[in-house]
Amino acid sequence: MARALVFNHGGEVSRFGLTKHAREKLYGGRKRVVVDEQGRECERGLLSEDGSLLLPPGSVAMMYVDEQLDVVERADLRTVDEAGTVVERVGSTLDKEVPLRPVPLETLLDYVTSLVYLLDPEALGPDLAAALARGELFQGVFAYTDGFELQDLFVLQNDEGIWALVGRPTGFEWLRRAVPPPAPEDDALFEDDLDFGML
Amino acid sequence: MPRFFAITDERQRDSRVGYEGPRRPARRSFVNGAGAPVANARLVKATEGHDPAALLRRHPDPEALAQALLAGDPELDLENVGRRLPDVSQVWLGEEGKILYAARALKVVLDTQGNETSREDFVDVEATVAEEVALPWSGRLLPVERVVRSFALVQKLQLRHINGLTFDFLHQIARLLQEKRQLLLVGAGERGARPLIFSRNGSPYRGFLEGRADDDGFLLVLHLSNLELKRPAAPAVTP
Repeated sequence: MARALVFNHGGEVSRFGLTKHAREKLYGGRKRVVVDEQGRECERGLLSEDGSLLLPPGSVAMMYVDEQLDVVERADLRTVDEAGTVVERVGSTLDKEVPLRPVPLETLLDYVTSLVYLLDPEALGPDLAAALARGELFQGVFAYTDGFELQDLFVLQNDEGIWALVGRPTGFEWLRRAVPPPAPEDDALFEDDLDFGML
Repeated sequence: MPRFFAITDERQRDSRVGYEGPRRPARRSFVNGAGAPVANARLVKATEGHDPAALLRRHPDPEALAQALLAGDPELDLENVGRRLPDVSQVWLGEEGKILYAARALKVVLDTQGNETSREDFVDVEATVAEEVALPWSGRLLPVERVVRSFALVQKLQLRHINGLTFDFLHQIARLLQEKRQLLLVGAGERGARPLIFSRNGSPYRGFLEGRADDDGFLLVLHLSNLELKRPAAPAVTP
């Protein structure tokens, strides 16, 4: 059985199949290819600066190495934040109940959408169905696979269907007028007549 | 570091302003089991003549290839495998892995099923957003409700003032849009009908300008979208 998004809205559980929504499915796509004189497609390779090494596609391995240049396996890696604190892994949210809470529609303006899913209701609770039909926006969390971060997820409905938008906050801050501090009241410069002799 | 473009307000005054993308998420890094830092390294895995395609050319018969692999490890270039990747340049490889000295770039167009529909010479698409030509005030306002429900807002830029005058300029735009409770459709070209392209061959977007303002501050965000929240058409069924 395909994995699904499961939401808990006020104790009512709904389950949705999900299909990734992408430009290519909606509009088709474009790609740039490079061909030789006979029109045959070419591949990207790498040539060392001294010309001694020619590397065809797939010839470079990405590895994690420690300070002694010993390879560290992925399973042995730990992630730390800027302060050096270990970041715990979070599991996938698929097939797990994720609480949904209603938020104002404008909330989406403060997020950058990185993933869009078209949802296929497998079991849609009547309360959530009614709220979505009324135009409400819901927020939850999302992780497709195990990782180190839960992303924000929004669920909304339009005439085309029910959508899940996954994104992260923009972090934009208001810009304020930088006004110079008021001049002190006992500003000697303007106390007396202007002194042209100092010029 | 801010970049710049020029934009026009509702009174047809234009000005150069700065813009920045969203903040990057907090940096994370890897350590090993002992807590020592771990770095990402690019290592040579195979070299020309030792890669699978070259081995298959040399031994087209799978049985012969298997025997050769067992007998002499021809897939291993022991002098180079495991070395850190030196400074390299990108090259194009043609038939039999040879470097191409004259290559031709093509634009291949695919339909929604991934089938090729056309193929023509690739022509660079220039940016439509620049400091020299101001983006026009399209005058076309859309309710937040419509924008949020119809488009995936996949990129955002915050417009920033570069001096006291542009503070007032952007503050007034933000205030106007807040009062109208609508987003301004932003496009390039004389009438704002062309897509926004920020760099040569960059992604084209439709833009929606949103403003919030109070007495001494503002937030002006250009929301960018290249994707509608629209169900893809069902593929045509061939009899």
